[in-house]
Amino acid sequence: MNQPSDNQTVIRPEPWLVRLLDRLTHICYTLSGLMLLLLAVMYLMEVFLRYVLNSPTVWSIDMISYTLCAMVSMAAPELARNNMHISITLVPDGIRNRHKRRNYVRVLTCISALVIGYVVYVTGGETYKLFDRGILTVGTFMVPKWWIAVFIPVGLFLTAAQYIRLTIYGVDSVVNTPTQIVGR
Amino acid sequence: MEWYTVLLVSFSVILLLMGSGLPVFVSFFFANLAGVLLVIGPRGFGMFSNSVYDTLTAENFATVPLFILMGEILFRSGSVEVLSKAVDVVVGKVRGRMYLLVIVLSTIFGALSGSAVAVAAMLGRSLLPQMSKMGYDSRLSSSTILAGASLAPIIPPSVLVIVIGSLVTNVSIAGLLIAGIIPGLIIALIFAIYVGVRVVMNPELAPKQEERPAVSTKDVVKAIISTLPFGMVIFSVMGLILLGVATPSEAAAAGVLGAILTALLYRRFDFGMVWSALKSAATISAMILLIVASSKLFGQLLSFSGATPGLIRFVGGLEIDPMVMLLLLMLVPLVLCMFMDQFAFMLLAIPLYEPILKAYGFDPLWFWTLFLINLTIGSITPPFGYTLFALKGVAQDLSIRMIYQSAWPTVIIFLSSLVLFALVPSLITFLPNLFN
Repeated sequence: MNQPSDNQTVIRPEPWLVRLLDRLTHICYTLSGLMLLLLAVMYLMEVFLRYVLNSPTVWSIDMISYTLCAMVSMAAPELARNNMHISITLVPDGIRNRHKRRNYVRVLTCISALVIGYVVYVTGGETYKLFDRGILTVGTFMVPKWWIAVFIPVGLFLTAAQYIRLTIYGVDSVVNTPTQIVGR
Repeated sequence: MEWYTVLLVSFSVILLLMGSGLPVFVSFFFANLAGVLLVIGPRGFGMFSNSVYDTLTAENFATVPLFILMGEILFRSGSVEVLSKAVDVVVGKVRGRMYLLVIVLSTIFGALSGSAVAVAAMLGRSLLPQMSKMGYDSRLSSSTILAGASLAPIIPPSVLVIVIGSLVTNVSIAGLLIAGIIPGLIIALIFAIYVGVRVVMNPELAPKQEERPAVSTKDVVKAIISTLPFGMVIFSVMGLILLGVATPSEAAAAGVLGAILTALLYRRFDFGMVWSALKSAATISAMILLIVASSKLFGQLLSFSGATPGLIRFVGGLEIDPMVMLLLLMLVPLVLCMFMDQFAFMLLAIPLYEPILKAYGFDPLWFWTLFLINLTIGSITPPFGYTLFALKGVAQDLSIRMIYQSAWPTVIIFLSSLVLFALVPSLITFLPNLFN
């Protein structure tokens, strides 16, 4: 049986639930990228149809709005997974003791999970009402409103789950570098 | 409860939550849920849910990912390297030419990207090591890069402008975008003059002789021609908006197409690059738009609880000189943005600032452009400006202390420019009025 040498890193297998969560997060993130592609294509098509063929569509602007909602909601879990959501890290950065800092960050991720969990409860409940009452979107291209609104609780549910994961396993279990600097 | 108590308590709570290190969007969610439960009760959950839904389905905000995507494609494809080489050829043989090159390049980058962090990273990675090797002063080089990068949010396209324009009533996004052109160019000019004066006063800041191959007129013409595809991108964004042909969102989409065509023309296009750009743009957009969506209800709750109307009555009754009020309104973001995120501050300030502007009769285009420049200053002001960290991230040889020191001249120049634009509003309003 092969033994890992001293300089080899022993990677501990993650529980199946974490792997499932990561798989779902990755699928959502891929969807988010595709949604952005769709959004750009719809806009370009609309520009072409409106200014070149002088026959704009009646549905594209509404579809763009719906796609935007899906794009943002689906990217949120990946941001949480990498602890990349914008935050002011003065206090955690100021804690010199590594152990204490790690625990403090765990408290923050735990609070984040609880708050987002409650938001999931609220938005999920409201989405169910939309489904139950058969409410349609307002606009020229009307669809059941819950089709669009459901992306919000789903995205936030996975985001809350990622924060729970970070609370249990720590931020270092996913990323090793601080990610508060964002490219914007 | 009195209006000022509501205001004080709600702002203290949200600043405490953000200051603790909680993600900004979580802080807003927490404050808004607590506010809804206290002011309206569970009946207000529908209002809460709708505020998130309405923001995430607002078509205006589609401009944000498109502008980010445009910049990502240009930067990730390496197309901007062609631009860098061309500008390098065009900038003549003058003492301290690399400083000038940084300023010219960053002004053009500003018209191609709305992100100060992206431009700082790009210049810090490509030009800073070269300047250091050639014997340019590290501190002045860093100052120049910080100044150049800070032009990006001012010169269109600008993500900050889209968010401000989408949240503020009675001001057009197109007008706000156009309003940034002249101030951006003026700041670039002032900085070029500053660098020129510094080099003349202290020749040690730039190497005496630079090794540079001889450049003929033909080379210059070829260099200019090679940059024409970028002209197409800039026209797609600024030109279409200036001419009133397209909305900012449509212009942003045209800019994305222009960026793809540019990458194709330079033979730097590949699907892997586009996919990386898409994912990165989706990530950055989600970071920003989630904060916007989570904060939307905050302003509504302030209004609902009587805090905003109370503030309007109070400010309306004050007999303060408008310029003093302007100074106060500008001082708050200047100080707070040293410690907190620009977007977070902006979303807190807009609901309160908007009624004050109306009470004092300030031109919204003029005021919000000053506000935008002020936010930009926040991102280069030590100790917590994002742009400073972005530069440090790519310039490992520069200490953070050196970057902090180099930021101050840039901050002072931006502040002086802010005073100039405050005193001469037509520098901001001229172009939007011309193309109205």
